[in-house]
Amino acid sequence: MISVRNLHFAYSDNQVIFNDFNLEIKAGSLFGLIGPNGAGKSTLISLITGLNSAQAGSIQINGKDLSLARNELLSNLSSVPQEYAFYPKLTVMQNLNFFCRLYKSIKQPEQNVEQAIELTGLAEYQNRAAGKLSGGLKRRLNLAIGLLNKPTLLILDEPTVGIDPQSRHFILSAIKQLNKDGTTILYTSHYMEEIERLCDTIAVIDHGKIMMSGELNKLLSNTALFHIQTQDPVTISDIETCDFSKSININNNKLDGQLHDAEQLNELIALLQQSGHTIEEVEFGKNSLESMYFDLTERAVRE
Amino acid sequence: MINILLNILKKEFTLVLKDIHALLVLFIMPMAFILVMSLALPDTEATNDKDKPKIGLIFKQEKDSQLSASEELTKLPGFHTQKFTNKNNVREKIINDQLIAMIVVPENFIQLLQENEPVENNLEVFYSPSTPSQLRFLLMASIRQVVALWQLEKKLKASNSFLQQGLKDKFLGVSLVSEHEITVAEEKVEAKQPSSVQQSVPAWLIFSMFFVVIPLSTTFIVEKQHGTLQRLKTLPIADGYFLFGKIIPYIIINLIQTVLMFLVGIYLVPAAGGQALQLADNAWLLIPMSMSISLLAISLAMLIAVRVNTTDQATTIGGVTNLLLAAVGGVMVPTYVMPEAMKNISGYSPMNWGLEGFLTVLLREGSFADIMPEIMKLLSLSAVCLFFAIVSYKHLLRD
Repeated sequence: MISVRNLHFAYSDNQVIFNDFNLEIKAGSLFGLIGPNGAGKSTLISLITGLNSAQAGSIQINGKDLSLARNELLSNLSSVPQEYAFYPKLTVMQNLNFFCRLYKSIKQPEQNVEQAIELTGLAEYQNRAAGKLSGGLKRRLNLAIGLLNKPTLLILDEPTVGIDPQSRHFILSAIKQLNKDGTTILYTSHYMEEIERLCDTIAVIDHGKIMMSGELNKLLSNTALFHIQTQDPVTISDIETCDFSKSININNNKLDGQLHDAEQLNELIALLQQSGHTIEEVEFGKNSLESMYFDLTERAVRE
Repeated sequence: MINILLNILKKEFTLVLKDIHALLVLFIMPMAFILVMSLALPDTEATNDKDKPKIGLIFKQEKDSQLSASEELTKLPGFHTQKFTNKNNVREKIINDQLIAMIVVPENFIQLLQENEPVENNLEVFYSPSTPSQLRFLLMASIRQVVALWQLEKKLKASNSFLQQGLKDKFLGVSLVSEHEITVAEEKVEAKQPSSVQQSVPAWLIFSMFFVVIPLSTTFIVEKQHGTLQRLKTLPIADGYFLFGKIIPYIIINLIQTVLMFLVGIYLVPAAGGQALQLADNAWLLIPMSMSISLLAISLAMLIAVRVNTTDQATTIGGVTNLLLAAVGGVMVPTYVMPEAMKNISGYSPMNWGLEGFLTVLLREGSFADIMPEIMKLLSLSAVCLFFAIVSYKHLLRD
């Protein structure tokens, strides 16, 4: 669906965002793009939606080069920005009618508007000024506008920021349904539980580089969190012969960190027992996206 | 394609119509200014004899008999008359002394009338072009009355039988006057000074036209801040649609302003007791003038809208720019009352270019060629502003 190859992009102040960047998003996937602020997510979206042009490399959508077939590709693509991208003084219906009639490819705009209203549950609010809607309804209108052209590729930039749980649930369900119906979705969010709940494939990017990408289930099962508590304090010398000792945090008599599998856990327990420690407690389980994310992007607060 | 453009135009008009402040600034403010400023001058005229419309008098022959008879002319009701001994440079006197007209009485004119002899030279009235038709009509009626009295004066003294023959009929009828048909030669003199309504209507119209910066930039900045512009730029249509979508509605709004403000000058100002604005055959030239001013106002508004980030910045920069251009350009203070140095500076204000163009049409009965310099200046600056606005728009959201 989307193929980004050898992408190079720098802003006019020579700040390089991407250098030899590659990314593949398969058709029909619900792809989660995550990364801290300044990682390059928004820039990547601006490149895929044609707002910016890469200095080198290519972006292909459905096998067609974006730079050569921009208008054709944009007709089947829709981007829902993080901001409320509509006219607050116009009503819901006026907004939908306006945006729908900007597409030459839409032959029956009334029908498309009706379907977008139905999918986002805005029927009873269609005559209300957009600016007077609640935060959740504004998000739904934002999404509805993005659905007007019945896109085959939908790009959602943090579509659930600042809304109540009910509206979030409604939007996430709608997104899931759209994906089931065949729409490829590129989804960015800072809410890791949303990504875990929705996406089948993810990429973690930071400083313009892909830190990790692949099918979410496989990535999560590759590493696992552990927690061991001993009777007496443990020192690094007790486990330094272990290959993976650097990924273990020691805090007095508590050890935690990430392991690849249960075999590594058994090896660690054996080592501790050889050093004379009595094991009081052991926890071992599947990793969470959030802990993986922090490990990849570091915990320090970004700008 | 036309449907997309119409869709954008509909959206822009809907947004402007929902913006009550914009409507006040664009339509109500200039109407109020035109009414107030047009009425202010006539109100002060009525209270002071010296402020009554001024007429100049020149007697080509300074004989006693002619001078004594001419006293009637110096007492024309409703006018302030001033005698001039120097008989040359009528045009300059009208301009320098701010006269509405100059009456030139030829040699032996009164004597020939009184003797019922054919006059050799007509009495001549030279008008300032800014003199409204009502004043001209009033002046002519007064002059004809005086001329009729001169004709009658000697006859009344000489012959009682004249009275028996039906003086009343002859005095009031045209036959007495038609014996020496007085045709008044009218000559127009190029005036520097417009009447209050001639100054107020175009001045405040131009001022209000430049205020499209408020609704245009407000809409644009809201689009920018809300991500709407980002969404619009990811749609499969050219940027040109959005640019024309901004330009065309505001040209239409500016043209509506033009029609409304001239209607205010023509109908509302006289209904409120002021002088009516009069349009000549060249009134169609107001359209190219308005279009040129409109294009510059919109281009400047777009440049400001694209370059600033908040509506506060747009309102402040747009408002202050308009006020400065208006103050310098002769909108707030007419250029004819400015000192020479300020008059020169005034020529750099685009509002002054527009005002001069309008006055050339209204006051000097100018042709298209006469307003071309102003149109060219307005369009040239408009092209520069639009160029920078488009360049900035193209780069918008990229960095």
